[in-house]
Amino acid sequence: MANATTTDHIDIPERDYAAPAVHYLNWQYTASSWLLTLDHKRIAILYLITISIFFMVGGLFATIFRMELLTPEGDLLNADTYNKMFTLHGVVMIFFFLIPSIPAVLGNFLLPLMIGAKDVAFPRLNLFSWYILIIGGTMAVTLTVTGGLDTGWTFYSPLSTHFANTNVFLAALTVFVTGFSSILTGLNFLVTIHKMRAPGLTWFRLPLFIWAIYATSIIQILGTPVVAITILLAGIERVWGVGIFDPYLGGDPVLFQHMFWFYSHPAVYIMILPGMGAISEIIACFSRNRVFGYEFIAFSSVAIAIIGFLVWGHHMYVSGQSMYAGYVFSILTMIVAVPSAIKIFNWTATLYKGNVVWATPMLYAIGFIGLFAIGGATGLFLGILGLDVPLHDTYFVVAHFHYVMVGGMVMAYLAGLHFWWPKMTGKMYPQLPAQVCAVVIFVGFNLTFFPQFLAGWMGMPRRYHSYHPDFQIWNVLSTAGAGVLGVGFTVPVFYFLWSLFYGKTAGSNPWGARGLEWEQCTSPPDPHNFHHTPVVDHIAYPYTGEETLSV
Amino acid sequence: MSSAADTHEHNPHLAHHFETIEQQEEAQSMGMWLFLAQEFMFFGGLFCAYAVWRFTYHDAWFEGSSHLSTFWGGLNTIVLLLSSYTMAMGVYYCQIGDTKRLTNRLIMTLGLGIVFVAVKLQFEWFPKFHDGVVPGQWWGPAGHYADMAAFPEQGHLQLFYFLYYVMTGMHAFHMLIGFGILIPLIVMSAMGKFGPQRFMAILNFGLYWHFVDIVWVFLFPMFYLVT
Amino acid sequence: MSGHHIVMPNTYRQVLIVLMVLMAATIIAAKWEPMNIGITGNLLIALAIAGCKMTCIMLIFMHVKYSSKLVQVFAFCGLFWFAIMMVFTFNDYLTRSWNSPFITPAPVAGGHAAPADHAAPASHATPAPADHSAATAEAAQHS
Ligand SMILES: [Cu+2]
Repeated sequence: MANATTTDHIDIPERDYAAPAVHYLNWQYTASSWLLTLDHKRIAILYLITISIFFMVGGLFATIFRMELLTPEGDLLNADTYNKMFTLHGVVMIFFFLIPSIPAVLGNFLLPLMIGAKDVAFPRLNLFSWYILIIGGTMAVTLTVTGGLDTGWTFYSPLSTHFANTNVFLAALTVFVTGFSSILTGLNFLVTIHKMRAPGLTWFRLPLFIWAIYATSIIQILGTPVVAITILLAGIERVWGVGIFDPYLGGDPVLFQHMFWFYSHPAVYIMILPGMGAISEIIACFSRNRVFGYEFIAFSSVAIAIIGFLVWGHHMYVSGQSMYAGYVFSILTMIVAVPSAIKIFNWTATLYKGNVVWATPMLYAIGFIGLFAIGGATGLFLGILGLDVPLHDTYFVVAHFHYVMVGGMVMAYLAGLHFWWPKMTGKMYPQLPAQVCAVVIFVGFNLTFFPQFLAGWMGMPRRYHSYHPDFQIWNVLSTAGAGVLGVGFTVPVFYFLWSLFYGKTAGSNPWGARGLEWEQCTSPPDPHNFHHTPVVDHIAYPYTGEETLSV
Repeated sequence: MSSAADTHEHNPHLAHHFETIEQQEEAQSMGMWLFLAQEFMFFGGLFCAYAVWRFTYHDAWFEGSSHLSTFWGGLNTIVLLLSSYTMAMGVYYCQIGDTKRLTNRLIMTLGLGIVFVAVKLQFEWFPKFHDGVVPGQWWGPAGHYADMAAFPEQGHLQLFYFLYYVMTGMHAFHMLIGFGILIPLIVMSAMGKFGPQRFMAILNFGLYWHFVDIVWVFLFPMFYLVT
Repeated sequence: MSGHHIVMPNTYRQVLIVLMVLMAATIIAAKWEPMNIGITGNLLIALAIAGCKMTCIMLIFMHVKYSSKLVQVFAFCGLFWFAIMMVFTFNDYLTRSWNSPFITPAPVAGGHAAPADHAAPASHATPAPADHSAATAEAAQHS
């Protein structure tokens, strides 16, 4: 509306309220036009549907074991079933939701739009990646209905290679296959960012989301193959009855942990980095400010991708690695927190004197900053060699990584989804229910996981279906919070679906945001994204602080 | 670069989402290199595991290695280096547009690859299977390998052979994948689909093939020449 | 075509010859007794020769020498990440009491000692590499 205020040579087009007659969603209707599509935007929608289903499945497992944990006795589930529930929750949420969530959904949709390209570099490979995920998902479903998995998502040897009675080999293959979906997506994105940028879109004019995706892709390409071969080795070892991880013949389980965490610590950054990218976009848009310290945020993403590979041993302080290795990993863990802290300070500085608008995406983004700060800081507790010894394998760890992954990543994903939903669908969801829902999720989340910090601090171990009655109050609070959280996660499904049919037409730029995807694309975008290749002659986020916004 | 303007509109090999053929070729080349970086880390996990156990169990490594045939391993190294050479020549003939020689070199590459896998199975793996050099419940070196049974740390020896089978097996598996790509390439090349204007598939396959070769260049001294 | 240098057959042939020579060298270095300079030395020589072969193949056969800076960076970034993995894994293994050449093993009574069937061969207890090369020579004579 008040977008008439423009700066220098940058003109925001008049806000148009009409959706284009032909866009990527409606130009073809057949099933094959979806299932064989090479359009990155349609592939993003395929991913969106897929991972939403996996999120619900993973959430269902969590609901079941949270109910078990209402009482100290193991009365609802026996120990075996409980083990399977938390394992499947972990496997599904990590490999089928968190890792593909922002890169594959928002990344696929936004990457070409943000850099002014017609598509990603390898559209066929992009579709193939989705099919790999589907194959992996089918295997995961097969695994679930044929007895599940009870090793924990970490597949630690010798439990996985020797003692577990579930179908570990199928699970290993599932992770192996799914990994390639992630690798190929990262490869595609990295080439796209290098080779497909619009004229004038130099590296330091890129949106920070692109920098984050770039850093993520590095990890995906260089980390994932290691976990693929590691888990495959563990699977072979189990079938063959011999191998290098099982102490039976002189192997070393700690070697498995080294190779596993070489990927799986950086994998945390696969999950959180793109979220940080989305948050940078949203904070800039809704505080109407240029992002403070653009270069710092950009380089901190790359720094996280590299330093993140040097700290994996902080998962292994008590598992038999040498004390000296522990020292080194502990110190490096302190260092890897620095780039994340830089981001948090810069976001906060962006808010300062900004013209803050409390739209739904912004609520999520602010929630993200707070929760991620708690998650990150408690990660430092756990990274300290001495403090980790008593806290290892307690609920403190569980609470910590849920603050990072749910409080950080899922909040960022929801923030991004709410931010770009009008772009993806051309429809605006109702603001008030969405804002209320964001608050409900925030409250529900804290109610679920904050008590776990306390229980863990008091010594409650993770991964048991029964526990000492003294811990019951914290578990009851946590389960209650999980209920609230469950409602919070369900409601968006309804208003998003509602908005598809009854929502207001969003127009090309409902938030008055800056960036090629908002300023040069219709909502929903044209099948070919841009009518003519955009030319960029200015930095990212040229907000003046004067634009106002009514939502 | 100069040809970009005129090839832009009507080059049939240019996908719609690229602006120029150079951009497309650079993207494909870069994609292949990233794929190889991925492959490198895939084998890197195995190499790392190998390093740990070689470091820890020298004696078992000497013992195991002394029963691997330097002759067959060396022969296979020569075969694979030759196949890399024929592949490189294939790229050259593709670039200068000699399709006939290109097809020829691709067939030679395939042939040498098959020789490699055949030697590996016939003269290395099968005799070992026959004489009980199979880690796990069937372990029991006999026949040609009988004196291995005297080694005190049979478990460590099994770890050596476990890594031997897994790593050379993973390498051979990559060669089989290579055959699967090479055969269609040969057919397409015989149909005259490649030439100076269209060589990315040949170039990229060459990269893959050389990568597999490099892996063997390391596997050979790591397993056959432990001294 | 930018970036797609045509390498002459003669260059390929020379590389092939170099590769063959290096292959012969690695066998000689490993099997010829006067070249036996102890396990660490032998390993380093073998790896150095393999590294030379890899460099030849990458630079010429794989055209890295003639490619863009970006491709060159990508070609070697795998190596860098692999180095990270090795350095930090060995940062652990080299400083563990039960198999480190730098640390004298704790007495068996210590909780940190390796389980019985895990115990490394006796030669590991001695930090001096000289002993290893003696064992090497023996192993070589067996074959
Ligand atoms: Cu970690």
